[in-house]
Amino acid sequence: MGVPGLERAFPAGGLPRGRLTAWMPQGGAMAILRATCHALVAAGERAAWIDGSGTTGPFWTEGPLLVRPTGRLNALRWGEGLLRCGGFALVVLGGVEPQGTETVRLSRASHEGGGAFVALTASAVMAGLRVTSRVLPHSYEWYRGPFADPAAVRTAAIDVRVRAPGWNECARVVLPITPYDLRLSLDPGLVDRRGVER
Amino acid sequence: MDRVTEALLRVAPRVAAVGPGLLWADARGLAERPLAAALCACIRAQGMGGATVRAGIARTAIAAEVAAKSGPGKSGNDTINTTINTTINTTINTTINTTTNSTTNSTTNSTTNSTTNSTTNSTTNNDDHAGGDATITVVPPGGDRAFLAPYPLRALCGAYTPHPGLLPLLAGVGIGTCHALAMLSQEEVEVRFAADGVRLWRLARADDHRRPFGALPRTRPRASCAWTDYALRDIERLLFVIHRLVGQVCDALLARGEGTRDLTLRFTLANRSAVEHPFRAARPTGDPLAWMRLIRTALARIRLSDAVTGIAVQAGVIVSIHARQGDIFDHGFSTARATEQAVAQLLDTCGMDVVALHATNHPLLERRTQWQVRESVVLEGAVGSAGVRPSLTLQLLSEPRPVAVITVPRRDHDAPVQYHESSPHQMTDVLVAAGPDRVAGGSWEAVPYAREYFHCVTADGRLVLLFRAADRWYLHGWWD
Repeated sequence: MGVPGLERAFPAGGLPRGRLTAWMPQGGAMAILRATCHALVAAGERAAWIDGSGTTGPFWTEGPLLVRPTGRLNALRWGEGLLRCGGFALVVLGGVEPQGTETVRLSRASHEGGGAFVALTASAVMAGLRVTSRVLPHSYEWYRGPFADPAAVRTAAIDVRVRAPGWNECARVVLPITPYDLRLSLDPGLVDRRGVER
Repeated sequence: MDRVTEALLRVAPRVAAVGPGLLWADARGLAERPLAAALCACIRAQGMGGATVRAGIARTAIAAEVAAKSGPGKSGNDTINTTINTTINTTINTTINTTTNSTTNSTTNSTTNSTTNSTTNSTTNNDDHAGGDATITVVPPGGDRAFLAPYPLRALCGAYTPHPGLLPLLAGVGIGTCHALAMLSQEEVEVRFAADGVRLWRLARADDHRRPFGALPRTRPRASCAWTDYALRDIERLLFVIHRLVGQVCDALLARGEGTRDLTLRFTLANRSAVEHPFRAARPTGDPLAWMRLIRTALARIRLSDAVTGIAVQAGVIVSIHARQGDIFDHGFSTARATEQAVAQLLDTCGMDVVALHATNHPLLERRTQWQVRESVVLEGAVGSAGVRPSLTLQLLSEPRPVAVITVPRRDHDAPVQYHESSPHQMTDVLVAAGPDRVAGGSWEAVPYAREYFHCVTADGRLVLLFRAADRWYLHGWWD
């Protein structure tokens, strides 16, 4: 899975291949799935991320194939095509809700290609595995400022619940939070030298 | 000038005039000094006889330009009529500078600048041709920075015009020469003289990435077929001919390990007119089947005004296609070909949706992220590479979304306690609001900006990024 401590919550220790996994995104889903994609790429396999909502930010790390489709239909086409070719161990579809026959086609493509398919969706139709993750509101750890107020966030705890026929497991992981990198140098051509040792 | 350029082109393969009195000539693969002398002779032969012609040869453009304009042996008259800069190989530059001063400069054989660094080793020769006076300064390879060292910073202004206040500012702190500026570190220059200073600093160090001439264009593969005793209207027959021609072009490409991004199909019609149809693949390929698939799809929609009597196929933008050796430990190698084909087909069907992140250093987040279409989709697994440590990262809305926010005063600012995006009945409580992080700038741009960013933990556990700009609040993204 790419996240230590999460394997025991999943049947067979990870996402099922050839099946649709419906992951309800309430916080932490993208972080866990990104780590899973990178773990697969590091192991020599391929992973693809279809960003249907176009919200992938400036902290994306190269590795998985990143697709930013121009429309909903194209996102579904990419999903089906990548799953069916059989070359991808994991395909993640985010920002698009497949409905009705679309879910059937994607599920069938996943079965034919043999790769794991995760849809970030609230609908669990046709899903072999249902996963819910959420960040616990009071679990955030903060760096404190001079007034003892929260100044910068450090970590957060995420509850992950996995359900399948005959399976209901829960795990909690603590993940660091990447800050958004406030720049003091206002000229894009110059390096932000804040914090550089002299 | 056209007459001069025409004459120069008989000597050098490529010549470019980039400003008053400045000519660049390409002499890659040619002998530098004889070429420069021949170019000088050409200048004088074209009605500039008697003028002092000056040439500079260096590996970088800035060194060549300075060598010609103000190199050793420069006469007192600063008026420049013509400067010819010859690029030899990729970065060697020869600059020939003609001044109106017809006085023969007999002192140019010696190094005239006493402050020249001993490692410069530039050579200055006078070559007399056709009664004129040509001074050729050769900067040896690797000696560009040392050559520039004794020159005043003013000499760099031909290549880059800094802010008018920069040179007096540098002079005020005792930096008057290229050497004095080049010996500083980038950080020292950056914090005191900003981006303008850094650019000038790079030039002073002979770090000039200008290329007066690009790579030489190559012949693109082409195949054609024409017939006179009959004319074709049938699509299937046309496809038969096109298939053969595309095959020839693709064979030529594949023999060189290359692919093309676009093909142009030119139909010669019976009414003596010609029609061109460009075809563009999503990714460079030399696969005839991929091209025929595209052409067959497009040909069904093409309407020609008359029967066809000839077809020509020409490749467009050509790029190299890397072949990869098989690795038995690579889990993805066995499916590489099928995956490549699937991705290529999806790119053709859905468009160029595969992107790579190009992050800039802009202070504003939405301008920091730039997505570039990936020219080549690498589908090999990175065996042995380290995975990425899982962490919650910022998911950014393409445009900040306006939100209504209820705030409470906190020290010198207002902190958000509730917000809603659409309906005021669906307020989201903010448990913690860390901030503000203040960003302001852009006074040199069309729209200046001033923002106060807050990291807010909502009641449902989400960490969102809100900011206030001009008394309006926006949701910029969230961590996931």
